Amino acid sequence: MSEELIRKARDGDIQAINELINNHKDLAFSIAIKYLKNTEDAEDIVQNSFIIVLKSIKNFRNESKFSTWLFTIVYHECLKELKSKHQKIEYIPQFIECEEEEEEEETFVSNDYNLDNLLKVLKPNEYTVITLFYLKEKSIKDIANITSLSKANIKVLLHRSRLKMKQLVNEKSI
Amino acid sequence: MKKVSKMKEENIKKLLSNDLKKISSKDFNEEIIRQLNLAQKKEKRILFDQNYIIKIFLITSFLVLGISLKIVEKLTETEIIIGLFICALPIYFMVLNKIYQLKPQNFQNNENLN
Repeated sequence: MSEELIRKARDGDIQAINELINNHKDLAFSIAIKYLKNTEDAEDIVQNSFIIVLKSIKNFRNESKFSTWLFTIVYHECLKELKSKHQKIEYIPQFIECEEEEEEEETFVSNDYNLDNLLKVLKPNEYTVITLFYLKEKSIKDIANITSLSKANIKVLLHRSRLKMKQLVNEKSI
Repeated sequence: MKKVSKMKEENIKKLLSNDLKKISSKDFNEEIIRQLNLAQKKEKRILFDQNYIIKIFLITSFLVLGISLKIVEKLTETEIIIGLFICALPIYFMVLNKIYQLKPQNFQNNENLN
């Protein structure tokens, strides 16, 4: 099925391309927004990533390979964007102060979390790893390829994010 | 660790998928497709209907050849070559059709220039 979808998309079938985009856009956008914390930037990054991947669709045989490459591009584009933003705001002390406060807030684990803000507690890289692992059923090896992190590091991130989720929803009987 | 391992995969998946953020832009997909220039492929036009050409030319050419063979008993070499050329005409049209399908933008550009 996924091979058929890729083949159709390769042949320029608009419906197949739409299906491919719809299959991955929400997760790609969620990951991007987790890093960039800005809807417009995240949308731009995801859109550009799709364009890059779809232009080279002839290189893929199945949707799995397609999505691996898509998320690789999304991930690295996010990091690139973050880096350029950091360079731009490097000399604004006010911003750095705000950012530090934000980081402190993020690492602080409160006891009154509910399901709505459950995933806010996950750091961007933890969120990326756990969503790719569970929602896209990517292997540790694939995630390592996407994020350029070591397999051991990914296992740690997975364990940590599972633990955080467990802690937060413990009372909600997950 | 044990507590974490007990956490059902389905529940994690459910939680994560519920948390997914939706893209607000309505023309998100269209914008990608537009930038890929695939919209043109959607409206792929053809010069001629291939099946129609084949049918018409095959019928007429064989009719012409058949009649000429019946009427003119002895055909010269030139007449046979011309006859075969007529029979092969649909192939030229089909090739032209294929070229047109492969490069529609060239034809459109020419139209725009005119």
